[in-house]
Amino acid sequence: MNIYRHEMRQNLGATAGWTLALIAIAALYISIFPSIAGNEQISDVYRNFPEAFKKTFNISEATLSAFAAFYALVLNLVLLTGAVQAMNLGTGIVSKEGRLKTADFLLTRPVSRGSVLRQKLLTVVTALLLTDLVFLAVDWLLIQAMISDSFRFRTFAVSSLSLVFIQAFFATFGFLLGAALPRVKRVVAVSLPAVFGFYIIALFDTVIGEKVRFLTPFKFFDVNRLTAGGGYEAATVVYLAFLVAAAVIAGFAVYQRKDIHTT
Amino acid sequence: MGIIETRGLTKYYGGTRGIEDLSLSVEDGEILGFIGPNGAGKSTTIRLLLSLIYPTGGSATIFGKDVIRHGPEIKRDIGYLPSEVFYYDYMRVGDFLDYSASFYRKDCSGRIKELSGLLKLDLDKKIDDLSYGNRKKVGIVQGLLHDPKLIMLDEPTGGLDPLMQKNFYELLRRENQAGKTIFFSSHILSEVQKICHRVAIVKEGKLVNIESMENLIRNNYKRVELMTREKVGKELFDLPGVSNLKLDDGHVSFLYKGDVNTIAGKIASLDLVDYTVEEPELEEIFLHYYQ
Amino acid sequence: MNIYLTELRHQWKALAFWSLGIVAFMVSAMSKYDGYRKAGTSVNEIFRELPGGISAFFGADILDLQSVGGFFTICALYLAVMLGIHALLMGSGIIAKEETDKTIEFLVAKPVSRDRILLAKLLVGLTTIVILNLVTLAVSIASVAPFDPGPTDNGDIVFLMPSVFAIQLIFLVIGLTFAAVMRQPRHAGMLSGAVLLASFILSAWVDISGRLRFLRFLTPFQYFDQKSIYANHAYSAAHVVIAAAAVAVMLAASRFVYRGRDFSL
Repeated sequence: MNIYRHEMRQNLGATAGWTLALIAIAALYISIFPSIAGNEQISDVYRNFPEAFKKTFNISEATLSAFAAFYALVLNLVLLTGAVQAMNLGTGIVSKEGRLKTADFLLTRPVSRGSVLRQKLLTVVTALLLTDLVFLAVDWLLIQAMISDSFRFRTFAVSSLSLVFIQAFFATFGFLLGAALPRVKRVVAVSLPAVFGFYIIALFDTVIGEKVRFLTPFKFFDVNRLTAGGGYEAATVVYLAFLVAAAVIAGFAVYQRKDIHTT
Repeated sequence: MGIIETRGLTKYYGGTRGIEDLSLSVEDGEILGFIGPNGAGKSTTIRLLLSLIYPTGGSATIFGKDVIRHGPEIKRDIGYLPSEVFYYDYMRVGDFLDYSASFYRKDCSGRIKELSGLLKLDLDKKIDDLSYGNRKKVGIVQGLLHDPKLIMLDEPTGGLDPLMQKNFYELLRRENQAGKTIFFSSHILSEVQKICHRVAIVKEGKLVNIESMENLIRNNYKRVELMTREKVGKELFDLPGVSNLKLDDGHVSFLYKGDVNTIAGKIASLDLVDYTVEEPELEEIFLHYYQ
Repeated sequence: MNIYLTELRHQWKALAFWSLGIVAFMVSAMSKYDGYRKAGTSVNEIFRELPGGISAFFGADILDLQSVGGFFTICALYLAVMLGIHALLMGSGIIAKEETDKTIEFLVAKPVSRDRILLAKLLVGLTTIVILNLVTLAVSIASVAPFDPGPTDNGDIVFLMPSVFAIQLIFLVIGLTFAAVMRQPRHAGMLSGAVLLASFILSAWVDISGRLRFLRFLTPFQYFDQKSIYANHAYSAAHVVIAAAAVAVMLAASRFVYRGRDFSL
């Protein structure tokens, strides 16, 4: 567990930074809600949901809070930022030894490559869960303090879980890339195009349809429905779990067989 | 059973040759020099032994265990110093050495103190701020701090000043006397000559010879130089085993390999001013393999 | 010139990759626009019904999204983000790589001044962003072609491209400046990435909240906001001047610091 401790110490600062960034975004957006709440047209939001959905989740115009719709927007940006964090972390932590040329050092210690990767993966999981726990706690407190609209805790918790899901995807996707690419010189040059690529695909999807729902993690679940009290569809959760597992397994497999070169 | 055994070890990088069919045995307690020019496959061999890369063919064992299957277990007793050292820039030397020590199930703090004292290494400095030579010292300490049974060195002395090199050899000799086996790759022959018991010579990925240092030098060539009062005829030295014959008035020089009595008889028949018979430098033997 | 040419030669692969990304983006965007027109749904309505003020972010309140030009304007918002990312990676990378690859020793040992090095690198960056901008222009015109754009639509696309270029230029220079002035230039990419993300989020916030309009001055995405440029068919002179001044100041600072800086090796 020494690698885990080492990596945790190394990543604590960045994790704190990202957590603060997420909180700042949420605070920035939540603070404007009271002033635009009056113009909100809930009926439009309501009309966008299919009949079957409304029935299943027992949503009527009366139960739908205006803030719920607004919170979907906040969550969208939080997901984007959280995705960048997760992808940076996943890609960075695995490719780090190649970048710093310390792979020779680390892999000549009496420790298997599997163990190296397990400890690094555990660091990723810990750092992201820490971020999410702290962020969501503060986020909920902010909502309580600033928003008078009713917003059920259950809805908040269920919808906010999407942050964990999306980070799981990007962290493991980055983990795989970090293990598979011969050398990642700059993490951001991998993570930013990847995350924004998926994000942009998703934006067009939100507008136009659900055809390519399985193409981008930003569309694995509809944030609007989640904040309106909806749940996750079993199919997408299973699909996400499959992708995450596949990325982790492939990452381990590739890393085990990889030739390590310093120069 | 040697400490290191390789059987037909082969590595290709795509189509390019790394090493080919390399079979080698390193005995317990010896210092083996592994020499060859750049690109001969020295680093490839060491990286294969450390399972940093995987062989295309053949296999290798260290301490009788397969290097791939038992990699982590074997590495408990290996110390490795690469030719170029890279460590975590953001750490202090002391923290880094502690981190390195944390991989071994023993207390290494005494060794760290001892070794860094010997090499005059400042533990409070950041690795980022170290000069190349000082980084190299960090490399030496991290390679030896866990008291490994087998020490692998890949062209280790680059960047060390002559005084430090001397200290380093001294350190290696001491380790060796304490029973450690040392596998020492180098292209600097004088380095190998100073310290090694046996020498393995690699050429274009293949092992061309492995011999004890004594045999290599003694049973191979003698450099003979004679100064005579009279001119000597060429035919006198027309013997098997004589090469590089040079005749110049009263000066004769050649390399000889064979029965020393034969050549001693020939020399005795001459009227000499002076004569020397020397063991050739390793360089000369080495060049012989590369002709 | 030799630095410029050598560096530029290394950029083709990246340029090809980004060009492919642009093609993929435009094709998928326009095919969706197509699917949608065929279905007879009103683009305007769908965007205006988006919850929580997102409609303002897309400019649904001021644009006719039914028209090819209006729809393209939304695409341009994202093209600007994509190309901005390319530009900041380019600007920070081209300076930082000499130090991360330890090649700066080689370079400064040559008879060239640091000013020259910086200038050559800036020119490489400029060349690549101009190339990508032209690629984007060509791809955009080609991908809207099947939708019988009028001459005004094509004119609008051409008219919007300088705004995308301005954002590219700003982020190129931000990336370059960070890499030139920081003690550890390898962190410049991360930092300029954070600036872009923050600018994007702030820009969206200004659109959606409709409040604190003065914050527009903090984010380049608002300086060259494709929605209002399209709707008003004009660039804001004030924004152009401020942006130009900011770029000039950053370049001057880069030059000043880079001249006298210790390289990290």
